[in-house]
Amino acid sequence: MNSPAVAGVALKQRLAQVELATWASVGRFVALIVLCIGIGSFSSVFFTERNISLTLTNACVLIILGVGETFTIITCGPDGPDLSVGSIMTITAVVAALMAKAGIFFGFAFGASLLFGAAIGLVNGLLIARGGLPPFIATYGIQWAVFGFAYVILKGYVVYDFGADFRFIGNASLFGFLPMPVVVMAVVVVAGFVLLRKTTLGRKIYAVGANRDAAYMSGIDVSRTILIAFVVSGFLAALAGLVFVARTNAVQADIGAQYLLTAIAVVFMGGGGIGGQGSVVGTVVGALIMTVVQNAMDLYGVPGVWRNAIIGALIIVTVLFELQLKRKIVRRN
Amino acid sequence: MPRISSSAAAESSPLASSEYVLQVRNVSKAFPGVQALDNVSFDLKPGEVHVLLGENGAGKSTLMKIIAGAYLPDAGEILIDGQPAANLTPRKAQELGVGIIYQEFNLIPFLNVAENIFIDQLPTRQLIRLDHKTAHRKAREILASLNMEVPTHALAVELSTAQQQIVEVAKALTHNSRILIMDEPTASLTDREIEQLFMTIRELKSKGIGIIYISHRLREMKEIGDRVTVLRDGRYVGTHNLSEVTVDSLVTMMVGREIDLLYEHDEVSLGEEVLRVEGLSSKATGLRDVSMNLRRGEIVGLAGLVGSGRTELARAIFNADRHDEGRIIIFGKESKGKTPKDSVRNRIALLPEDRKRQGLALILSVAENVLSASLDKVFPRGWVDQRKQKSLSDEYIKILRIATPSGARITRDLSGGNQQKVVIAKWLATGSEIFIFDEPTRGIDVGAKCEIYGFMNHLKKNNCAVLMISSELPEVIGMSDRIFVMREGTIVAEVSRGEATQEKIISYAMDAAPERPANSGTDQNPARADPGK
Amino acid sequence: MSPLKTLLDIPKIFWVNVALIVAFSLISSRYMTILNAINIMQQGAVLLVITAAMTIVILSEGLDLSLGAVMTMAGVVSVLALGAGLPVPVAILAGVLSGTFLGAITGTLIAFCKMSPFIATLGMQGVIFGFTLALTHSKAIFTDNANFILIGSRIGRYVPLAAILCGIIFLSVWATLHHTKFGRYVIAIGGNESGAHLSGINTTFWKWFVYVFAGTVTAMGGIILAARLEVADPIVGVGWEFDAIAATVLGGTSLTTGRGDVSGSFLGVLLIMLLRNGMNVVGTPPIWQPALMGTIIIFAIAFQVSTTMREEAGR
Repeated sequence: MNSPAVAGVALKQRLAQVELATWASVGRFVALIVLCIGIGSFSSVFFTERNISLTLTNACVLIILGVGETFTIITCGPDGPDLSVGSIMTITAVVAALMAKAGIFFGFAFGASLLFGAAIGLVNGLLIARGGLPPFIATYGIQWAVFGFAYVILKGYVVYDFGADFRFIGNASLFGFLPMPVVVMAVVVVAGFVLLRKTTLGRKIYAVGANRDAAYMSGIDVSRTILIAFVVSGFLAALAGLVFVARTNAVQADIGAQYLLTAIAVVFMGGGGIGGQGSVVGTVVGALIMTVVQNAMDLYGVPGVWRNAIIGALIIVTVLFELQLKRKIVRRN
Repeated sequence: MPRISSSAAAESSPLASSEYVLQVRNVSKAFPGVQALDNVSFDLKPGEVHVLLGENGAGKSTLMKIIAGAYLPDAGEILIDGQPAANLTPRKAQELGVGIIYQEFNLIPFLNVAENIFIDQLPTRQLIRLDHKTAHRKAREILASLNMEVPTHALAVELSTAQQQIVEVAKALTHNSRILIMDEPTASLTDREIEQLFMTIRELKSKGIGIIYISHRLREMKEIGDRVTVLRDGRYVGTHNLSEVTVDSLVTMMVGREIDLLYEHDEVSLGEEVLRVEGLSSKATGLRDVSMNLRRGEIVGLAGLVGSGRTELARAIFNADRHDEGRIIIFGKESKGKTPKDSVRNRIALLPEDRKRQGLALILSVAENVLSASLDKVFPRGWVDQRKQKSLSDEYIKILRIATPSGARITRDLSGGNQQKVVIAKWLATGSEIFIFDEPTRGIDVGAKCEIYGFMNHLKKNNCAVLMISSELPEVIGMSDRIFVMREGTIVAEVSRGEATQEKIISYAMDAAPERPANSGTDQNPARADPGK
Repeated sequence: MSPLKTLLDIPKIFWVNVALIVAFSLISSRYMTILNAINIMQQGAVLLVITAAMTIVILSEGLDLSLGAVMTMAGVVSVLALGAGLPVPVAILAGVLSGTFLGAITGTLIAFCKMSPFIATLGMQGVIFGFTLALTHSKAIFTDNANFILIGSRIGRYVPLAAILCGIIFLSVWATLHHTKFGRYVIAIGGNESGAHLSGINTTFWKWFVYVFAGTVTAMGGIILAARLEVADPIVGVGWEFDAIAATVLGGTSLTTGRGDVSGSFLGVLLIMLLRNGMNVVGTPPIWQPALMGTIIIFAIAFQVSTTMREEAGR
């Protein structure tokens, strides 16, 4: 069994496999760099400190949402994205904004909003894990209901102009140069990374996503794990909403709609998309690519109306590419 | 060879010219790691029922799939009506008159009988509009020619299993099949339904259709079959007229694998009873009134044919499936568990039959798999200590001699035997004491097999209890202290190590035993008596 | 079959519909009028068409989240074609063909590229929506072509032409499902794909065709909607696909087994329209309606799915 021939073949297989997967992540990173250099060499503005800071700040909401999606997609596979994150970020932003306007202490407003987001995530999780609904049906339905309530609360108005303490996490800077959204995003990324890689919960999430039956047969509480993934996603969506509203200093009932597709796409662009695969770091790279492309469209003055179509096509192409790549990796054996 | 084909060509009607409608000559087929068929020959006359007999893994289904064009043989040839049929594809086989009724359900649940019969040749009129009338009329004709009445408007899901079989037969007949392969057609039928099916088969015989009949039920095949061919380990054993052979001699032909020195057996003094099952029944999985027990320091074999309820029993004990009646007593206390999670806490381990689907997360690393069942035990604070993970998984890799450069390796890249060892490591890490091994050595090489036998004995000596499900009789006999034999959802016999022979076990498993075990009824076929029960 | 059993065989949703009608008419005297019935028909007609298309997709064990966007696109293409001076039949044909074309792309991604229907159609939703915005420059485009508007209008007070046209389309989809090979293959693919494949059906092609068919039918609905509203609004279709999925599921079609029928979906659409209309009639503030509808529907679906699953497990 330990014959050198067998070991040799196994080693070769392993090298071949590692190569492809590693190449893929390296490739994504290289794509990001090339993209930056390419855009930078055609645009004098791109590499300015101001643009970099702006781009990074723009990426924050997307990255925070993307980390949440990473949890649900690892747990439930390609049919598992949380389609309600856009609506959750909207309604929690609305709730926090109105509380701030009502003069409630900003810390309390934040805390309540985050809990609210987690609670909606819990409803998603219950519908999926206990009710047996496919994730895309449950979260899509919840999305419409939640958007509806956000609309009810705002009655179609825009709420704007908040106090400095409320806007702190959106437009202040730490040590005078680190924008607060970036700090929040960094905390989320580190926490997400730690949760997925360093805790038994993360292990269970990967195990459920990689093989739900085997996880169940190993005594892992599958439905609880799914529940937690959607609670995390709801919580992070709420956080993204707070960063968004603190940064833009205004909120209306459709702010989250623009993130429906992109938040999912960045997970696929970062190498996730099959249950048990994907990582926070990959998602960050994916989100940066997405943001840089959007930034480039700004710089080149691509008409706003074409952007949705371009982003949509980009998503389909990357997902298609990533899926083929993953099939190839899986087929290697 | 040339003689036959030239004579076939000379005659106008191939049926009249050739004595055989199908001839399989010296066919071999290998899959990675297994020689599934080795130089097997087989022939079929028009209007006969030719039974194909063999243990699990004897090569019956491979042969069947080669005839149906699903696999290409590595060597040998197939003649249909005396004409060589090279490079068969499923479609080509169908055109040449080969029909096959798989064991799996291949009807469309929510289409009606007529639509199912004509699924690939639905009659139309007015361009694209379906001609339901003609379809139903033709379907009724075909069913009538089989002397069968099945309502052609009923949906496939509404039919009994027997009726579904008849629809499959009718479907095959729409392609003018002259060779019909039936894979365990009576597996889930009641006595009356079997009678019905036999009537259909006799009808087909009278039409000159040759039938290849795969079954494990020896008595039944004596009733319906004309000739029998026995396969063993992918090799041809012999062909006989069923009227000239006894059930006992068939059993002797099927078994006869060597019980070699692979198996080590140690006498260990028996400890207390750790598992007791009393009157376990489940409608959903077909278990009926199962009672058995397991003690520390013994390996108990669970023998029986595929589908006899062995895996279902294991899953029921492990709380992977619910049961309707009966009790499971673990370490002297009645188990109140509802999910495998409770079983893991109760120190029960189950190595599932399908390790890739239920035992392992193939895309995760070896170390992650090793610790996947014991996360809460090893890291009670919820914090994964990488060093502890590494040292623990390395320890198990060493103990079990798992061939992997490191625990970080992706499990998919390991060989089957090493993957199985990872599953064992997973359960060792939980500190389990009751081990259920479901087909632990299936598809793994001899070296790894030996090692797994060694671990089982090691567990036994360390005061654990082992329940081993296996389809390999020599393995069961070689390893077990006691053997339970299951048939059709229940335990039909308990055989002690001293009296266990392959003939005896297979006789119980196939309902060919000379005398009835005490707990079964007086009916000629107790196991499937009284379907209403 | 006893009369009681026949009564029990009528799906629960039918009785829910009856109960709603009774309840609303008790609450409001203005409810039980012919004009209100015609209102419901005119308003629900297009949803009925989209739902019929969605039901076909779901019966094949697929999903199409891009149908709302396809519907919008078809209306926009037709109205733009009219604006370019093309005759009405040509404009309508252009709109329908745009749906066929988009369905062909979606179908290719799913049947040939083997993408998950969910991801593929979610992406297509983004692409189509984006192109629609680009084509219209994010503005609603009005039309005053009388012949075009006619197909969405009502003639006199009592002849709802849009509803009649949509009814015809709906019946055609029903007939396609029951009386063509394609329709039977849809059930076959959804019910037992490997069995269908082993029986010699080209499952890949027919799966592709499912999306082509759904795109085409949906486009017809979109054109009728544009005619009824007399405007091609680039965001009109947002969320329609979910109403269509909801109506399909509430109508008893299973998401996984190929069980169900477009006739059930009719009852599902009726339920949604009764709720919408009823909310207006009892005076629910419009601003509350999307939230209430969304909440009611998602829990109704959860209830329906868990019931269906239990039934199937008991089989």
